[in-house]
Amino acid sequence: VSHRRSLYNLLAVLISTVVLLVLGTHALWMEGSHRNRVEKAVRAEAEANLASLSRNLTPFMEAYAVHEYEKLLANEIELRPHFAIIVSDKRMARVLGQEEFLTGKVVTQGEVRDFDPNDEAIQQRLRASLHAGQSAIVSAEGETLGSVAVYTDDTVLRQQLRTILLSEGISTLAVALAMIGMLLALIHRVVVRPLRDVADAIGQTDADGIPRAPVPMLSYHEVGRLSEATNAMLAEIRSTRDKLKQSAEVFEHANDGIMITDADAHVLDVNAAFTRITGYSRAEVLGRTPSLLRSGRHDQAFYQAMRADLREKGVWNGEIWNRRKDGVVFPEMLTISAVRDESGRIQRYVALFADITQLKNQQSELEHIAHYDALTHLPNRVLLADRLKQAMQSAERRGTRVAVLFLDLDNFKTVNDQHGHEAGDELLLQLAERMGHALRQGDTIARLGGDEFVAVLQDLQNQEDIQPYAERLLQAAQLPVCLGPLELRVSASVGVALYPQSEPIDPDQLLRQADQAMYQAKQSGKNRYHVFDADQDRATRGLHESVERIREALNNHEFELFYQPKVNMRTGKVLGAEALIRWHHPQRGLLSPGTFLPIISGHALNIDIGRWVLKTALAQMDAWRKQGARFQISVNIEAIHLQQPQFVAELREAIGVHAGLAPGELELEVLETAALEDVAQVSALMRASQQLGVSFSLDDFGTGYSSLTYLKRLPAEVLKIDQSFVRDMLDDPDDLAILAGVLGLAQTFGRKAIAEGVETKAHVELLLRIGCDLGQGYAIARPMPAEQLLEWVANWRPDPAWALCQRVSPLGQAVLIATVEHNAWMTQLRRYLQVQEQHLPELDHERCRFSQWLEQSGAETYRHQPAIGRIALLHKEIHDRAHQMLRVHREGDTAGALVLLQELQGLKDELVEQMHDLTIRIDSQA
Amino acid sequence: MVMTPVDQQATIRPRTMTTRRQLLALSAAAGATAFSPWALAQANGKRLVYLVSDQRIPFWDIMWRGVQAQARAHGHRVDVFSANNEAGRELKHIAEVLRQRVDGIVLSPTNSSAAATVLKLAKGAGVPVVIADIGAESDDYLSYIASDNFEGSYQLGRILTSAMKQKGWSQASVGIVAIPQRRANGKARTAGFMKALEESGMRSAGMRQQVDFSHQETFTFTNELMRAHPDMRAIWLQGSDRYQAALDAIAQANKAGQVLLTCFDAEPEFLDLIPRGVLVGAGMQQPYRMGQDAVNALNTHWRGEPVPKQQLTPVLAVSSENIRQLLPTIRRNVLGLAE
Repeated sequence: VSHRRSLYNLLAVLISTVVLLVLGTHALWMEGSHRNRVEKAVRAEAEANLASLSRNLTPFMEAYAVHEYEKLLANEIELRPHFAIIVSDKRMARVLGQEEFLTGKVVTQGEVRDFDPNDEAIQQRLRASLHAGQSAIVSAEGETLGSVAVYTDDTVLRQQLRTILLSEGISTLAVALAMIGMLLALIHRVVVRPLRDVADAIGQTDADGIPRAPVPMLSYHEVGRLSEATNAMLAEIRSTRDKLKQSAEVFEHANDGIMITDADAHVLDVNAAFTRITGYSRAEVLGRTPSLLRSGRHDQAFYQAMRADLREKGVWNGEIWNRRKDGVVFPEMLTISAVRDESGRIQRYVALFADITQLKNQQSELEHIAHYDALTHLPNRVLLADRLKQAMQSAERRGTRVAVLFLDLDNFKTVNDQHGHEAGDELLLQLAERMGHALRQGDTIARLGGDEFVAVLQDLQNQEDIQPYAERLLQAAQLPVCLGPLELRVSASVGVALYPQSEPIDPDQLLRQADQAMYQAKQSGKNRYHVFDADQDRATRGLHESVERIREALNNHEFELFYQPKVNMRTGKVLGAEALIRWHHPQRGLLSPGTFLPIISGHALNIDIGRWVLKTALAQMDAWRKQGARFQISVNIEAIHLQQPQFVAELREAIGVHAGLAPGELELEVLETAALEDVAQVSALMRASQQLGVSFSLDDFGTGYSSLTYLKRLPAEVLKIDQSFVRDMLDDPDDLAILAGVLGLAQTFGRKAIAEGVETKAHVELLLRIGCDLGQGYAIARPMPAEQLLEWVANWRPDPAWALCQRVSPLGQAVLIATVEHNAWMTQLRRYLQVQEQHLPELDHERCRFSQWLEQSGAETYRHQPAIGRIALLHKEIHDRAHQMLRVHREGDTAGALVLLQELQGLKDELVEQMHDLTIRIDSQA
Repeated sequence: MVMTPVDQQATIRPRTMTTRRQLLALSAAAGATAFSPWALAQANGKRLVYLVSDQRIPFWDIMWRGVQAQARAHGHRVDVFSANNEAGRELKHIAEVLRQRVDGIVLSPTNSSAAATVLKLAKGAGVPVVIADIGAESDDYLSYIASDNFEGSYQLGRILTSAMKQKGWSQASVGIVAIPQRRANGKARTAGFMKALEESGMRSAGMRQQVDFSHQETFTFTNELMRAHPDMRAIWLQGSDRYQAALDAIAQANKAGQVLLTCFDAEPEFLDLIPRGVLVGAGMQQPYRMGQDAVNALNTHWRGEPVPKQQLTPVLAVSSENIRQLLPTIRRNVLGLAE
């Protein structure tokens, strides 16, 4: 510090200089002013004195009193600041006979002396005098007696100025010194000392170099602001430090990988998670670019788009495939943010990513579960519907035909009964493979369940093209299947439906037609195929309504909206209601939409109906609002309606009529399996509608092949889980797994999920346990006329037990699914005994699906749980008892079998209870 | 007829018949010399002039006679220039004589201020000047010849106190009618007289200073002093010309013989009044001798000898007792009468 110049010294020099300059200038100015004033005074005095002398000299000169007036002159010159007073006495000159008589007094060397006209030095001084004044002396009679001259040189002036300047100089110097002293003292007190105190306070720092204490508050406003600003800055620095520490903690301990690069993408830092995920140590990546991680799965355009987003929006997020150090390619959810400086220039990039391998795997697994048959790995009903829809669309575009072949094995039940499910399953597997080979690549063969298969053939030109494929399928089915020494033989009945037809038809209808034709084939003696005759079918459809009749119904106001409440089953809160159309048919009574809406599927009337529904629902909401009731009403929107060019404008107009509508009060349910051809367009439509305050839900979620695509790209707030999953979840572990998966997806993507088709309390409780709190269905309320809804809302209370249903963890969910698996096994066994029309479930306790869970997940994950041993024992005992029961049953002892079934039921209940306890224990330990 | 030179503003004063005749005679003589200034010039001596304020006044005329007599005695040529109490004329005279390149000047100026101018002019011309009786406000002169007023008054006071003691008035006081005391000669006269009073153990009854030198003024002052101081037994008049006013006042107060009178200077009548005892005594200046002393001083200077800057000429203290003895001196030196 000491080598720096002192502000105080600088100020001292500056102030001293300025003060001295100012006062010196002032003194110079004063000197000039004094000089003028003194000079003027001297002149004035000389003139006045001259006049006085002129008067006073007159009598003396008249009396020739030369000596007298010389005394007067001597007195005058002593009293006045004159250098010389000289009188020219004409009378004396005359008396003395001289041309001129000059006399007077001069001051030389401080003494008054007589004037000597012949003294050249005096004459020179007279000529050089500062002021010379002359006045004539005239007697009272008017005679000019002579004249008097007064000379003043600058001696007096100098003396006076010297005196003045001396006093001025002394006073100026005194004032200057006083001013300098006061200013310096003031500056020291007001500026320098406070600044030093502030600097001292700032200088006392902690280990981070941050001042320990706040700087003292300074009294004066200007410097006080320095204190305030400094303290505010220090507080901000401390806060920033704390935040930095926190950030550093977060950075280091975050589960997500973090990578920071400079503006040129050179890595500046990475966190531990980065190393854990990518395998690269920090030292290995510092200075490198993220291209190190490139997997090669993305083209240049992908990265260019990423860079463009970063440049324009400052952020990019999305999924990206990268490569670990060990070469493994993995997916990550990546968010890159550009950090800009104050001028807007990018300084660095921060990339935050999560390894979503597991999520991807889960998605893949879910997709597989959702779309493929677990046994044959052929597409299931869901995927079939999608494929069929796409095939139909393709046929329309290309002008070709699509054939749906519905295949059901003949006598398959006998194989199961005689050789067991294992043989049946093996038969199904082999037949599935053969049937796949019987078709062309690009055709689809799906398993609907049991022994039902559906093939979709594309690019057919005419009905005759079906024949070779139908026959190849029949051939594939009837060829024997060898299972070791065992040779099994079955056949198949095939029903065929063709698309397009003379009337619009949807995939479900097409499938039903094929099913119907298959039935015809069975009826006709099996091992054959039958082509559905649409014309004949239409002719036989006496009861079916026509499009025109439906239009008439709309015009006649035969439709009504019923409302089915949607609730939070855990809290009992009523969320809203779904508007469901009903037809008051004059002859057939109240008809549900399934009986007439399919007729107008894809028809323009569908749009008219949709408009009516929307308008009616909004009017009803108005009416309720006037009664003080506000809740969300959902309206189903057909894809064809949604994709109308004027949809948003019409929606805006409809909402505009009902000005009191709050955001989110109107929800549009878009059918997930609907023909949402252009996802981007639908997404834009939905966003535009959301701008109007309308929310969206994806209806029947999970049934479409593109569910995940929709989930990702459509901005729907709610997923409505298709009732088919919900309905069967108690007995079908696959459905339960799908449901749980959908809930997980909804959570992952930040969407709400609501279950529809909640029919029983058991459904409610299971839904609550797997984390689905929102529901709609008969267990809560049936659809009801509008006038009943408010009363229902006022009176409805949820079952108190629902609130006690604990949500289970993912591990608990696995236990639940296993429990459902066991329930399904037990149901199948009971049905087998009771109606003998079902397949016999797997009786080997080591091969059933529950045992698979028990041996794999159960043994691994829950081996420390005491209950698991008991569960294993119970499970084995159940299977043993099942064997015993079947044996008794085959022996014809039905009563004994039923007794054993009761015991078996008891064991099953105990097992379920143990599983329930296991769930609770797992969750309590989690 | 003798007139005091101290009154510089003097005008022609009323005279007795005797005095008037003497004045006419003196004036005629003075006038003849004034109009032919070089008539008496001597071929082998120095050439000097007497510049006098007013030769018509007897005192100055007597002094001129002393100058003239002494100059002639030394063989010098001498002329008199009377200014007739005009300063301009006096200056004109000095200019003239300086143009004439005289060798020396005896100056009895119109006043001491005018004397300074004259002295200055003379000094400028390098001409030595001796001042006679009237002082100058300058010391640019060779020598100053003055009466010894102090000693004369002292001696006169002794005459008076002696006379009073003889009459048994040792405790009586003396009233003083004085000339203005701002003048040097007035102060010297008072001091000399007071010394004599003190030595005799007598005291002054008071002093009145003359202003207009009139008869009435002296008469009044004398009266006031007598009334104010009943024990006063003498009046000392510092001049000579208003002695009659004092005598009149004493007579009117019926104190003739009760209040004595003594005067400074001299009047021709005193030669009669003193012996008669009307006047106790008089202090008489010697103008004739002063004129002689002035010329002597120039002479000494011309001889190259040092000249005293000031020379005092004795004042004759005349009483009834010594008047007979001093009469020849009085006639020549005081009254300027030819021997």
